[in-house]
Amino acid sequence: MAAIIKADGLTKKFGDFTAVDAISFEVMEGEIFGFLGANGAGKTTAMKMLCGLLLPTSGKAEVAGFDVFRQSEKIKLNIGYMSQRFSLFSDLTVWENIEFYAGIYKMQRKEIKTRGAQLIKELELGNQRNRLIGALPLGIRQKLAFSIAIIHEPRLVFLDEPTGGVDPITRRRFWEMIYSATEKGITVFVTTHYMDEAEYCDRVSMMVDGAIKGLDTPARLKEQFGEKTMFDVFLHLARKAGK
Amino acid sequence: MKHFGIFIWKEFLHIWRDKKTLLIIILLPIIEVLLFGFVLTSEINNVSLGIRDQDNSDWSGELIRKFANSPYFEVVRLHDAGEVQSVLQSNSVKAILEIKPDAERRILAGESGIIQLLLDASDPNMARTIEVYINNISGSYLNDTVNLINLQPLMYYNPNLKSVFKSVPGLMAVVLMLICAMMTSVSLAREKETGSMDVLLVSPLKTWQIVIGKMIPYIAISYVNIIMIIALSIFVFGVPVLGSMPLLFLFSGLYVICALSFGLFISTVVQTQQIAMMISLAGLMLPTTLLSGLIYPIRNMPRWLQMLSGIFPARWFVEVLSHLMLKDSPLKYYLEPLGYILLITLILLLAATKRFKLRYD
Amino acid sequence: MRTILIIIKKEFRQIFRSRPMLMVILAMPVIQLLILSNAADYEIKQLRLAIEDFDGTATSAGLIDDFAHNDWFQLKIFDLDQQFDDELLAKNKIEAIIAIPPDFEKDLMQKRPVDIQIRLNAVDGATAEVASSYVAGVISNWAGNKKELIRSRYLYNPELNYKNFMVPGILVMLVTVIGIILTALNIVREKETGTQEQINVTPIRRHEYILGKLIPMLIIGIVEFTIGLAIALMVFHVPLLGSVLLLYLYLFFYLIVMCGIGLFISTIAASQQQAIFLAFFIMMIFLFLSGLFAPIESMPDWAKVFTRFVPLSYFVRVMRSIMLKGSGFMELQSELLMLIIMGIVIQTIAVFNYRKR
Repeated sequence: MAAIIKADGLTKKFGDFTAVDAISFEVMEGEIFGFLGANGAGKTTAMKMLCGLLLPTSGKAEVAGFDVFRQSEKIKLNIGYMSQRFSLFSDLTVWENIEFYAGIYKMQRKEIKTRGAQLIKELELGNQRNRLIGALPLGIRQKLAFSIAIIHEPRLVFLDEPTGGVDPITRRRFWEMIYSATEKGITVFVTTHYMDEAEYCDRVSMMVDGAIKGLDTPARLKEQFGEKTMFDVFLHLARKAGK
Repeated sequence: MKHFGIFIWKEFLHIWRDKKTLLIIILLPIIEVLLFGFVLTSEINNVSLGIRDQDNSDWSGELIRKFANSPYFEVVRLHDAGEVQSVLQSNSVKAILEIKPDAERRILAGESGIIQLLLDASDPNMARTIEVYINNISGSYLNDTVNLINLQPLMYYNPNLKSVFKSVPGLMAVVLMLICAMMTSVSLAREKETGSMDVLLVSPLKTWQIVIGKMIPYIAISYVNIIMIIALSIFVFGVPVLGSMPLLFLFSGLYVICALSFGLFISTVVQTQQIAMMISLAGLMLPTTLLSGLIYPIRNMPRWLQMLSGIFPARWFVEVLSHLMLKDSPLKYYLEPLGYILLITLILLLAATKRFKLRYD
Repeated sequence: MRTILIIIKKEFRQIFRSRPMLMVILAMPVIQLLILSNAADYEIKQLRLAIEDFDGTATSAGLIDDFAHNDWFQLKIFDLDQQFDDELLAKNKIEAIIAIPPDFEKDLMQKRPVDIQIRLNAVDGATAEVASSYVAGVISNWAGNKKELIRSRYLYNPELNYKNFMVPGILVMLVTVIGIILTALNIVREKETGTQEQINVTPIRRHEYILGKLIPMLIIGIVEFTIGLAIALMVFHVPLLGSVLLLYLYLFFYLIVMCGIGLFISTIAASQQQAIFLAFFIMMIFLFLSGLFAPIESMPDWAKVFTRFVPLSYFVRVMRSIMLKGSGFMELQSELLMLIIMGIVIQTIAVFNYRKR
């Protein structure tokens, strides 16, 4: 398996403040990689650098074989992105959003029609294609946003806290979608602060104060720190950092 | 009551934190007043006057010199008949004086049309003004009787004839109105959009407290503006405050509250910040400026429009200001406009409060 | 290219879906144009006069008569040997009080100088001064036995219809306001809600995004202008002597400048609130330094220089010239050049400022 993300000493400073402190890691193609940490630990900043949204201060990183400094536009063609804050235009309909994003990712019109219809069928939104996004419940919006994020079948998709604000059952269903995506060969890079979701990942990394304090499969991390759940692992690391 | 105090403090902090906006709100009126106080006059200054002299005599030369020497005109000599149309169309000159040959003799003989003044009347006022100035300059050229009459104009309230006298009160009214309306219209809409409105509603604050509380910090800021504008007016422009200062501050405060209520009302009517702002700027700017008496005398407008202008408090405030600042008139002269401002304020506040309740209770 | 079209399609969908927005873009300017065009009538019409006649002769009566019959004045009261109270001026009932001195006729006949005093309400210094000139004009005319020295002809607007002057101006101002504010707010809003972040992570390129945003604004501006122009022609009967195509050519380049300013504002404003205040600031300057209402001819020299940097001043001039005077491209070349240069400058600055990261 090849590494689809390679980060080496990736750093981001805002003035005097170091948000991401020389992190190095690799994400393997096809895996579900969880990027965990408390709010403010630097995970969103790190992810933004990998997506080409932020210019790193120093270090190196390669995403889908392209350099984040010089080839960020090529990276964007090969990835999908979904953030909790915003993904879809709430004043456009389901179909209009599908059309827009698929078109942006350079899908042909016929493809858009077929894939879009398929997406709608899978999400059982058949009679809602012309509903405004703003009128849909949060759980549906999240699933829709994810589906649209991968509609162009990218090699890798970044998810930034995708499941905020919904009940555990809806979250579980969302993760089922993530599994189907991996089955299609899409690598999933997901940040979250829900520690139970960590269990669903192939490997996770823990960020504390801008640095990676643990990186392994959930099982091995629990063993390493002698804890029963990922939540306890997290507390363990957070306590060590003096919080 | 304590909650109220905390609420107001929070509003202050909001404003204080957004330094860029704060800077604009305070700087803007200063710059505008400075700029326009000096700019808005109605005299003419170095207006391009084309002259086509086919007479070419000493007499015509002397006449032309009168125009050239006046500060009002800048003479441009034309020679070709064909030039006339194009210099007017290209806005190179605003008027053309054509002097026919043998002018002096023919005029005294009673012939007419020997000197023609072609005025670009696309701006009718400018055309008239130019006409009057030209006639006044040349008036005495032929006529002894005219020379005997000395006109002694006495300019009341404004002995140095500073045009800025009309502009400063007008600008103050317009600028305050727009800034205040924009500030408050954004405020509520933003709370709605960011969701912090719910927090407010759950709190023990009453509706009227929320409404008034939102206005208080802006009243404070507006007073800073008012003080600065008045200071500029007195020290830079020499526009005095003949009337009572305390009254000036009191009534300015009333006007500010009125303007803030406008914005408040707008924000209770619309859904998003964007629309609220567009309405307060795009929707208020031209009407307030044009219907305030700042530029065009209300008196000249058709009756229905004069009544419509009554909706805009700027119009009343300009009246109040010109009485207070420039004429030192007794209170009873401007009680009426004050009353209108008060009335508008009350209506808007009541409407805003009611709409507020309607939406959220 | 296709990306740009996709973005444009989305923009229009969003705008048309919002009824309030449509109202603001279309209805509000139309209403303002219809109503406000009636406000402007700066002409010193009907100056209210009071005349104190201390002479009481046929000569003084003749002078009073001239004032009474002159369209520019409204002779409210005149009386013999009676001084009117200044209160008339204070209460805004009268603009000027003219006093004809005793022995007026006798002195003139004997070629002795006379003094005519005019008390004016000079709160509006401008009006007072012009009023004073008008009075001087009437007196001068009367004294000269109406021997005509100069004959005036009003070109292009012989009826001195002020609406011809105002309507194109108001129309242009409205298009400007909407153009700048809409562009600025639209983009800043996306910044605020995080939409822009989402856009930045897609393969949409910077120039595609900007074009996708500006083109709809341009189109909206043109549509608004067209509606306004139709109103100007059909409701206000403003003449259109010159070429419509030429008008639209200038409109196009002007809108590019306006959208450029809106774009620029969006790159330096962190919130919608900041954007609107910046727009307000710029708009007020435009309003007064563009020759829209306050004629550039009246300004002090230093202010005239400033007006050269205000795009609106060029477009207003072009509008009035093409519509009322039938000016053609030859006469308005320099204005076009200036607009194009301004467009290039502001767009370059704005695009340069706008970064995807």
